[in-house]
Amino acid sequence: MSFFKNILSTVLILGVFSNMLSQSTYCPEKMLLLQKYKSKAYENAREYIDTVLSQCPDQNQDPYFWHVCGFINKDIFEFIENKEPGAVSMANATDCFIKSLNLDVEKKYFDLNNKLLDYFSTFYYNDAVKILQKFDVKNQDNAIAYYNSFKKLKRIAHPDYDFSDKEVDFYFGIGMLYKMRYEKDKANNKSLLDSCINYFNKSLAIDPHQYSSNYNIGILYHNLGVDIIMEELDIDADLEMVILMQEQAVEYFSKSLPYLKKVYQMKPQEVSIVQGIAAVYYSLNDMEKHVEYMNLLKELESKSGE
Amino acid sequence: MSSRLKISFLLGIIIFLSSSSIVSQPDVNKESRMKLQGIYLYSFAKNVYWPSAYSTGDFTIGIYGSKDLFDQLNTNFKGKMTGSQKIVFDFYESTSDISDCHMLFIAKEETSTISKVKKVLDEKTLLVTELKDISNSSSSMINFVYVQSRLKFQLNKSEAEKNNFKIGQTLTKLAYSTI
Repeated sequence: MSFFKNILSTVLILGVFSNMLSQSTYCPEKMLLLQKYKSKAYENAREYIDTVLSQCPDQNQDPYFWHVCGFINKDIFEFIENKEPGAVSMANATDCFIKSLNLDVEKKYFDLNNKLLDYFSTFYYNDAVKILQKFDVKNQDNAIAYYNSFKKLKRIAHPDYDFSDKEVDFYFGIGMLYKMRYEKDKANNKSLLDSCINYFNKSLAIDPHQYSSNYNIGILYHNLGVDIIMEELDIDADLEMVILMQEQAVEYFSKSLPYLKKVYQMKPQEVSIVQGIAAVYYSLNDMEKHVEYMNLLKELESKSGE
Repeated sequence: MSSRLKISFLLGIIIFLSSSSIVSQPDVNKESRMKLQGIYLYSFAKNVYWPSAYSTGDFTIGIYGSKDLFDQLNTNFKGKMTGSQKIVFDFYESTSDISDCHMLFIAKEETSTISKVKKVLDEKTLLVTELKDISNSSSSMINFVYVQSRLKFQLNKSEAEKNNFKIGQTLTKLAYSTI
């Protein structure tokens, strides 16, 4: 970050002169704000932003002013809030840099504003990923919000940036969080299933060959079929209900198969996939296919035991 | 670059966890099949009417050839009643073990022994089988059959009525086929 520091020192000096020379309205409050910032009284400087704007309303249209405000918030984020995930100062800083960028018709601060937006986009991205890594289901909404902020900033800094790889992984990660929440309390969290499958499918819409989403949807549908019979079907249920629930279970098993077959093509040596396909065929009462995959399973298991 | 590393790490963890949390073991599928068969057998007990002479004491459901189904029934249906009769389950390893029961289920693996079994059954026993098609058997009264992956049942009403069993309307209505 010394890079940003050196650049800012130059910007501050240039800015002070340009402020003194080019501004039609002299703004002593702004000078004071710069002093506070230079003396590292960051919070004091931040509080003073509103004073500057109320005393010198024309600063609202000054790209340099917003550029400095961005730096004030950036330093609060780094030195006071210790780069806390989702810190308000980070959002404030990016808002300021975006304002500066939009007002900067002469593109004086264009490169630096862009670099800083890119810099913050990485924080948002990493904060989102951290939530996924920790399976921090309570902060799932934050992960989505951080990821969206990452995309917003990255698009500004790099308009041609290709998000595909990250989207595939991120949507899969969010799908996994929904899956975990659902599996923690299946009876009460059934509503999360649609979101879970929806996110896995979003991932597959970008990359239909993404292994993990295919695998998890396959297993999920299979388990849903099993759960309908094992968990939801009451042994005292009347026969109409039994037939109806069996119908749903078969539907889930049938949905599971194409996903598991797809991952089988990708990893034919993966025991859990072969086991899963054999199980689905068993549940669909296709015993010929069940035996075929059970034999494959035996082969794989004997190979791994050698 | 650091962000790229993070996502790879993320996937690594998730794939590991997802692989280790598979529920799709054949045992679970077998259990669910047994549960379905159990519910059907329990429904047959409730929806077939035995001659009054056999409507006292315990109601015995015998299982021949499927220990898994017997275990499932014994666990999940223990203490269940049909009318005023308490349902009990018996498991038979061979035809010579088969004794007095209200309903006898013969597993697919023992299909070839049906005629032998029939000889040792008395008239109070409702015979439930897993034949490919009930029309090939003159002994079976109710037959489990899989139709497009769904467990259904066929009724041999004439055979049942010959032994004075009365098949309830629900079973007649929901049977896949009736002969």
